[in-house]
Amino acid sequence: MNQNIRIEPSRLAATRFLSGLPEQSATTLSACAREITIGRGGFLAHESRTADEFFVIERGLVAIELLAPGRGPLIVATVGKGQLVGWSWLFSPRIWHFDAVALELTQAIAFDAEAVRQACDADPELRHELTGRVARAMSLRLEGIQIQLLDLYGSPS
Amino acid sequence: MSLRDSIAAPMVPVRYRVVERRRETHDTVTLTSVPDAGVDALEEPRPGQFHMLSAFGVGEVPISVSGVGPQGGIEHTVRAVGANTEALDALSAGDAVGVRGPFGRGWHLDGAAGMDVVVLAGGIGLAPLRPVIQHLIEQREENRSVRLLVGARRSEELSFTSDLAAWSEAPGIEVAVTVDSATREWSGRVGVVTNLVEDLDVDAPRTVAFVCGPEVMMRFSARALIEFGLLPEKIQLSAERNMKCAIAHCGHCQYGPLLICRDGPVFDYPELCELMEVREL
Repeated sequence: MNQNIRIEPSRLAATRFLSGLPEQSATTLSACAREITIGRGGFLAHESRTADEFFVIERGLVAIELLAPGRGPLIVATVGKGQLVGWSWLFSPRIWHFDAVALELTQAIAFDAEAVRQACDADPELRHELTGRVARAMSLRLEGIQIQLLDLYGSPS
Repeated sequence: MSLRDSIAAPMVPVRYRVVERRRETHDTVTLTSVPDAGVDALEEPRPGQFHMLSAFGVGEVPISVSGVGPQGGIEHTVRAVGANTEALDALSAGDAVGVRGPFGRGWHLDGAAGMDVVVLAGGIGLAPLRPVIQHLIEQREENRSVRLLVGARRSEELSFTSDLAAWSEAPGIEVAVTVDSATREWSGRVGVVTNLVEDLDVDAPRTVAFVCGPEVMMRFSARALIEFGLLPEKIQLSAERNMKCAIAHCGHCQYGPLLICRDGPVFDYPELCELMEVREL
């Protein structure tokens, strides 16, 4: 994982997840962010490990997956350009519940979760902005998973 | 033809013969049929229309036209989900099949002139959209974006894979595929087909959409397209109900005030949006 490239605030607002973020919030958040590049098969997150980061994908594709004994990794969803990977950092016990694996060369903005939490404590507007966006991302993912569970393309019988 | 014959004609299957059978997935085949010797070909179907196909001695089902080939050949893609479709699935080259039609109101392709186009298909819903894509390729317009979004249950259940590969190479068309579940052998997108909408790079207010798939998928897809910025009246859906006579006599396919076989199967979204939310329908 290539790391430690600092992020300009305008770059955050250029992503779909953070589009329209107020300038002050973007500046605060950018201080907690760095660029990462990860090759195909590289892990952004491991199930059961501490969720001390979250990511916004700028380029590439990431699988949210679970390892099933005897079946190998099963992909629950993929996350692409402009989308959020990870919200476990917001909630106790702050551990990843899934693996996040790059399916192709992926560039992302990685955020230091502890630094972001502290920034949110100090800046209610940032907290409001961020939690609202995370909630929307969760809602969209949940809606998608609920439709997937219906198995709409399966046999009508 | 006598008056009696002309009245009966739409109800009488014409004998066609299967000349090619191509397996798409474990339960889906595409059959190419031509008129049997000495039989006049039926009227050429328009994209989105359907035929009633008979497996002789078993029964008859409505099947959308998935392509038109040379010498009057018609392609139908059949998924084996019941006695009739299982019988059609079992047909081989040389077997006879009864065909009535074409029936119904197809896709309004004229409305796509000068517009960007989104073709959104779920599962076997790609079959009736295949002629639309072929039309868009043949009638290619410069400066027009065509985006094909395809959803399937799993990668093994994707139909028309060779077409998808060819369409991906066609100028002006971009193809995005997503599946509901996958292992690492699949390196593409995983998730519902509506997830692909937010990645579209089309001029939303001047984009038309053609949508076909399971009804719930179409409902969510239409909402996603509207949220993206498409105008509701620019979204066309292909509905499906229990079509029997195909000539608006029996009422089996009634959908509120509509008879799908006559008024559809293709509708503009505003014609269907309220009906799709009525539980009793």
